[in-house]
Amino acid sequence: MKILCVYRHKAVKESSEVKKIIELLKEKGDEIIEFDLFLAQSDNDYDRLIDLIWEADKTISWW
Amino acid sequence: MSYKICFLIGNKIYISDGIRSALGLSVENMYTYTYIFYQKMPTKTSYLEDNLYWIRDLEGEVYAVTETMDEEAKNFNLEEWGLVEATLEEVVERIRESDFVVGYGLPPQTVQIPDQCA
Amino acid sequence: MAKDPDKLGIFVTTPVHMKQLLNIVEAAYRKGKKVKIFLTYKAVHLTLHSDFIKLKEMVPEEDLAICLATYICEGHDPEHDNPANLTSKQLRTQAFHGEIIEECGKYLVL
Repeated sequence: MKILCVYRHKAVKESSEVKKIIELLKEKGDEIIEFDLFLAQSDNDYDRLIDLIWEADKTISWW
Repeated sequence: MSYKICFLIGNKIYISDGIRSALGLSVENMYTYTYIFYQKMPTKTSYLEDNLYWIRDLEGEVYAVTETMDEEAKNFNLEEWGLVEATLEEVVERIRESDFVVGYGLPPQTVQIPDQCA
Repeated sequence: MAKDPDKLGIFVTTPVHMKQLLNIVEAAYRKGKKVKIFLTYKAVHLTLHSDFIKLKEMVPEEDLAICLATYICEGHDPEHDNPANLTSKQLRTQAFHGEIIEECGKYLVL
């Protein structure tokens, strides 16, 4: 499964619990794509987010 | 269709409303599974207790991810609230089997919640 | 209701992502997609944001709503404190979130 992880805040992306969940998902064979919403600025960034949402089977937007 | 929805809540201020929001989907014939990270549940109120009761009655559940909690939060959530204990591995399984994942609310706060928040 | 594969449901739970919400909606439209948006709990404060009117003008009435109960719980008066002039169709319950899940092919939480 292709899972898009959108990070709304930098601290959450860096938290050990979220990192562990991502690692466990990868161990299960899931493909993880990551998008740093907290860094998004340009139209290109947001266009890429829309493309990624449509490419992914599931999107998790972390706190 | 009876979708499976996984709610993830890490901020104490958002716990009560996140559970209410999950119930809102349960009554729409969806299965909701809510995971509380880090935090001690709010003080018991009949409103929140009723919401938890109805979620369970509609075959959903609210879990405490205890390995992210200190002893006080863990004991309060399990013993006072009767939340079901969950591991991060179980959260991952639920994320994988759910149709939608809802990262509800703001990030966890790193400060003690002052009494004024009540 | 059948799912629309070209529609993005956006469930807004926090009051801090107005800029991101607008940018996501604009990007979705650039890509020929549709959106359906529900603001709940603390996110209802975004209706008072100066940019909210832009969002309201971009999104069809039936595809943008807020949770009326939390609007009241957060201290607002929908009768006298509704600067974006949200219509009665846009003051809804959590069932609107259910509609998003039933109707939208893609889903994002803010």
